[in-house]
Amino acid sequence: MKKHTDSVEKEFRFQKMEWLVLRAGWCLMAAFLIFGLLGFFGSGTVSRKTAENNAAVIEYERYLRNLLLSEIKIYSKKPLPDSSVYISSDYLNKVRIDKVVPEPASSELQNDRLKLKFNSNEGDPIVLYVVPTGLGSQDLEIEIRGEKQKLHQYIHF
Amino acid sequence: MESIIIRAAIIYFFVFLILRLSGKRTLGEMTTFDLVLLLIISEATQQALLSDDKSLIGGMMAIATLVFMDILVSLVTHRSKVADKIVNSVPLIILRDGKPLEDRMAKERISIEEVLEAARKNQGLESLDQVKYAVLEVDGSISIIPK
Repeated sequence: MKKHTDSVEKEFRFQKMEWLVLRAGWCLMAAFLIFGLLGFFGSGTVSRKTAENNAAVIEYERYLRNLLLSEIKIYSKKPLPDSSVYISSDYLNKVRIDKVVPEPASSELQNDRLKLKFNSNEGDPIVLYVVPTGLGSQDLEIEIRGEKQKLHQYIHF
Repeated sequence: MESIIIRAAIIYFFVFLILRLSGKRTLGEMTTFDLVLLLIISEATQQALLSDDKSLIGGMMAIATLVFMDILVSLVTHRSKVADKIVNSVPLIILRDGKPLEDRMAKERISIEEVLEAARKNQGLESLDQVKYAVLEVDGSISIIPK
């Protein structure tokens, strides 16, 4: 029995090291949660972004999560003369547009861009409900009345 | 299909890491809170594991991946003592000759009452003076060696 407990005591150096590692792990776990609360993994203060140009104000999430629905809201500053919004089509390789509100009158691919044509725009935002299907960083280019706006997003797994 | 395998492997590693970080005592005794924790973890894991895949083969792949990961880990820990210590931790003496080693017990979040309970249950002892060694085992249980 003495032999057994002696060998247990010999492991005490490893145990002391383990306590240090565990406490470092707890700090990392806390940091992970704080980053999550702030929105580094989506839906939070850091993630919510607004981009603005002469034509529109666009609200979007900087960080997305794979297969989790997200919104892109486009507020037009003036009624659109041609009531059309263009979205870069390479964006659609990583993101699926689930729904558009209001429903566009037509949508078509035009010169590597998705054109969404609306019948009227009376100040209500155009909301794109998107579901990320890919991973990693991606750029989205939205064009309204000839004004291009580039947005950067990151999709977490 | 490959995403299920990768997801299952990541989740296996993550759950292992989280439980390992929580210390020996979390695994040792299943209190009501631990049971609730386990149920919630399994519910959260299920969603992340299979996502929208409700197919039979999807579930089978996830189960096979988890069991295979477990076999791999047991193979590695069986062959390497260092890996075994890293994965499973080491036993720790928390009481010697009736005297509790308080700094060790504090670090492992163990109270005198828990040692007394183990002494009562395992050896029918009623005081710490009757205990030669109390050892916190790697599975979180407390072994009692009477004087």
